[in-house]
Amino acid sequence: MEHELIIHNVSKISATGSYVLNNINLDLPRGSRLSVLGPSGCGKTTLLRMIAGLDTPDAGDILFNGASILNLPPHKRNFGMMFQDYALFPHLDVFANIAFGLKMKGISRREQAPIVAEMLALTNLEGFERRKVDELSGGERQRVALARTLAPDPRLLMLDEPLSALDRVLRKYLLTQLTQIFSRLEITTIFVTHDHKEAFAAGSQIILMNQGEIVQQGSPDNLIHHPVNDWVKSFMA
Amino acid sequence: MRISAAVATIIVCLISTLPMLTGRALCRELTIMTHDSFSMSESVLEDFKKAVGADITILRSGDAGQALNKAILSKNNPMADLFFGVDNTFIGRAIDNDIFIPYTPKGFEDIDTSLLLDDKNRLIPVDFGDVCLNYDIKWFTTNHLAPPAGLEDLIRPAYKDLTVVQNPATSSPGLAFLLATISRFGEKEYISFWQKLKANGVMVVNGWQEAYWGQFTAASQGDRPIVVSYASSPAAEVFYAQEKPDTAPTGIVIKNRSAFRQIEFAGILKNSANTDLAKKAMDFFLSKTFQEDIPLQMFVFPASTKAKLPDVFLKHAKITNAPASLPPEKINRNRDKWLREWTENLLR
Amino acid sequence: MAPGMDGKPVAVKTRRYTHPYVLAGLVPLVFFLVFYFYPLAGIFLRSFVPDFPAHLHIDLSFIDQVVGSQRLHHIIRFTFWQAAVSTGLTLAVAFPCAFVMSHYEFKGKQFLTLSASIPFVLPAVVVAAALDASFGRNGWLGMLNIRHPLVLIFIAHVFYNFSVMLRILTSFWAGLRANVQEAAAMLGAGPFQTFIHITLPLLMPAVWAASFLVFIFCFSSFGIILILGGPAYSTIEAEIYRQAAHMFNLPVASFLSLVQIGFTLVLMGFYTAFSRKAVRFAPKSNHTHFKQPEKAWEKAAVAGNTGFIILLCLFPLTALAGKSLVHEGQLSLMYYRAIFDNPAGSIFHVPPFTAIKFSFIFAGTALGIALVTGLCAALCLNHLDRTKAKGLAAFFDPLFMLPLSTSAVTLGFGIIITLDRPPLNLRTSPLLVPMVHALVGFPFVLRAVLPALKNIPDNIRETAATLGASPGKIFRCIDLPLISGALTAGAVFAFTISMGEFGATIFTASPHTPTIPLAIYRFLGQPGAMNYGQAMAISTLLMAVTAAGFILIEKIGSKGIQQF
Repeated sequence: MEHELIIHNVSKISATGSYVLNNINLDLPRGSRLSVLGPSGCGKTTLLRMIAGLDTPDAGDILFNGASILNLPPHKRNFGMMFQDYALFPHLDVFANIAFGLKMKGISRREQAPIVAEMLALTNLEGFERRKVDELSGGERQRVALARTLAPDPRLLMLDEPLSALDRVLRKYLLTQLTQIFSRLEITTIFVTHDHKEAFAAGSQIILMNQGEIVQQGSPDNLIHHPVNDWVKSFMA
Repeated sequence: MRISAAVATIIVCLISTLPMLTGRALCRELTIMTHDSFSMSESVLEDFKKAVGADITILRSGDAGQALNKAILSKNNPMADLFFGVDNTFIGRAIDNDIFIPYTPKGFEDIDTSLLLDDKNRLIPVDFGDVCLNYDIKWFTTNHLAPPAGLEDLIRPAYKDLTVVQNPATSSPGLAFLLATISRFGEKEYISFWQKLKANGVMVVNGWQEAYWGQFTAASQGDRPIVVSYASSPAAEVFYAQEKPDTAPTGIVIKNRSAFRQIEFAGILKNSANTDLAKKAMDFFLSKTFQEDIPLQMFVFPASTKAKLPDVFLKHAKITNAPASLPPEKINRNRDKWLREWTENLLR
Repeated sequence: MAPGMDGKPVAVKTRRYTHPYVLAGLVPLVFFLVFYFYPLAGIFLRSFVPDFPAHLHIDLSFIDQVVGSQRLHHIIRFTFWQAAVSTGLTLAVAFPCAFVMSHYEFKGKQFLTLSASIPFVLPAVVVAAALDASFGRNGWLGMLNIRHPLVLIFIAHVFYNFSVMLRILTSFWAGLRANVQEAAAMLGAGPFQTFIHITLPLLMPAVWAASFLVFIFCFSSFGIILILGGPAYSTIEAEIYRQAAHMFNLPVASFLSLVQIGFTLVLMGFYTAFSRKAVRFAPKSNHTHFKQPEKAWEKAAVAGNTGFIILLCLFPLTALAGKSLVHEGQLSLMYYRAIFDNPAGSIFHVPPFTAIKFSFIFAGTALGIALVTGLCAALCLNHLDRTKAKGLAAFFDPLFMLPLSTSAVTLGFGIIITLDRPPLNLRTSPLLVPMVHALVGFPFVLRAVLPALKNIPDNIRETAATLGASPGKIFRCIDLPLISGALTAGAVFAFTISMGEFGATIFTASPHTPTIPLAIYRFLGQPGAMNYGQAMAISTLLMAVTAAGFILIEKIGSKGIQQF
């Protein structure tokens, strides 16, 4: 299978001199669903930000479709990223939030409407177009953020702890919805979480990170039944 | 937490200073309301207290006009017992508002009779000064130009852009100078003199300070060698100089009725609780001690003919023989109209 | 919120529990009623109903003078026009500087903030002197030939208000959460598009709020217009002064005061409304990230920003200090020594230590009053806001700001005719000066403390309450420590405003209790180069005291100061 995203020997050193990321290597085939799992502070968000172009590695290279993207600014990458706290635009309504990426692509307002409608349908948000962002509940915000990320049809979808701000019942419900949406889309997905249940539900491939390094990589089954060390075993418990 | 404790400590300290601020003396007290230019020496103040037999509080309340306005506003429950510094341009307003009671103080007979304006003696003249053009002697020497001899010279082409005057609506020497021109040229023609003056580049500023300290060549970095000031200003120049010069650096124009006499009056305020003390204070104002203290404290001339002038005044200050004058009731009747006319013509 | 409290926490008729914070609101309210509204009502009554209480005849004959006067129409137009231009100019220069100050960390940044802050609290006489020392004929930049009164007015207004604009914009710009801009980038927006579609719209409420505030300050500009503008230029405020103090035309002065208060109230309403919106768009992040300037353009921006602030703010202040140190072309401490002499033996000579002493006593007392009333007002407004009595909060908020732009002469005359009987015979009391100063300092405390209070999440207080803390305990152990930074900032502002206040002081201070600005004024009012030099020397002392005050803020922690 063709490798779409290649992360090659990527390292990042913090201001205090310690490794934030230490020699990360990762190959991701097109259409794959990867979950990045690890405790907070393990470097998983930094890795995601580097793929997005919001952060730069101190060493190594990141390739997409065979070409290095390190010098490509984030707005030219056409990657989608959903932020942990959603980062919705507070001055825009739901429609304008979702249509923002389309507008940036130069798509006319008339053409935006059906795409936004489709996204609203996909995320069960029909009728929410004119709602103000600060009138939404947590779950609704999460779905607006997802719709906004998906609307411009990104080449790569990244989700940074998309469920962490929600309560348990809602989390469970939305996780099911998310996985259903993923299976309908044929898009490469990177799902960052600290919760192994979420990671297993969202990804067919898992990398488990700790202290800036990949500790184990494999299928959920592989991680559960063949942990490489005691730390992995205890983290899965 | 330390910070809030510190803040709390500060507040407590400050509040504890309040009684200090509000504490009042128990002995009798005479309050004099006056304008910001009022001054007297410390030794004379001591004599003053002895003469009155009470503590003296001096309430400086803005310029001459503002101080009078405050006295009028508070006439039902006066803030002071005595008012010092109604001048002859405002005497009509003071009389109209009926805020003074008549009293003829000791020493009244020594006053130069040309200064008396209130026949009921509610307001007694204490001092006077002549407002006139001052010029920079050095500037006129270096530029080989004769200093102005009278008001008419100011509109000659040779004197273009040389003069700075004060806005009569905001400055009392400015008003006095406006009245000088009205007295000199008449109620109808004065405005045409001012129009010509404007065409000849006269500069108008708000107050005496801006004119003298901002624009006058002899006293600032300005480029105006002619300014409206007082006939006693040359004496002040000498008195305040770091090294006293033999001759004053500035000259004055007082001939041809080009100077306007400002007379300052004092009077006892109606409804005062200390009329007996106020009478003693009025006596003191006309005493030799106070009258001779006036020149070097306020740079004006004493009203009493018995008072001796200090050397610096004898040498460098001149008394105008024939000042311009207007009847106070005429000033009072027309002041607003003249000011409006002047403002519309000069400031538009 | 607790049941039974929502809606009308103030209208307590039955024996319901009234929150102490609501009662705290009575302190500023009474303070305002007695020292602000009562004197104003008095002077208005005296102006419009001259024979009160004998006859209730409303005298409106002055209306003709106002409506018919081309000059007054011109003045009202000019007041708006110069305020708009001044605000536009201030915004134009402060916006780029705010970008640099909100994004980068660099050497001397604190010093720049400090030098930008000093002008705001200097009295107009000193600012005029500083500009004269820079642009005047003998000034350091005299060759630029900037003499036109309008240009000088605009420079002075920018000089004054730059720091207000800079602080508000910087604080909100730094508070914009970076991830919103990152989200825009991820959706394909380039830096320019992100700025146009995201950053700018989010910043706009803050820009509007800051602009309205600066507009209000310029709108009610008084000393600057009077000194630099000369007789040819007049604002409503300057005209009120002329009408009241010089013409003694009280009806016209009072009418213009009412007009000005009306306009100010509307403008303050806009300002407070935009402030609320701005806080919603840019919630304070706990730690603001500053970058080191790395790229060439970033370094150039930082250098340009530094150079500009030095030129605008520091240069005139230095020129002023320079003037006080040069006597007849030579470096000398002559003027500083001379301020202790009293050549004429005048009883009104102001010994500098006396002026400094009274300045400190007044400023300290004003600070105490402003702090207590401001804190009470902030607690009450915040409480009303949270208990859904938003309308009430939105009503009082702009009202409490009014003293910032009320004519000192109108209020001064009002005090003379109203506060004239025991127990409020304050006309000649030394307490009057700090009271009036506190009236002006109070809004600063309120503005500093209110956002800090709003940032304290409700659940912290509720947690404390469930753990058994009484409202008093909650105030002492939760609110006070969390707002202490903001409180200190407001306090120092109140303090320095009082140190520099002139307009109201000249109306209320007695000669036995001179302040530093009065001493400056007295020296400028006497003839002689020595007096001018001494005025510069005392001005320099005032600047030093002000700077010390601001350094204190920076040291104690500048959480709240960013708001003003």
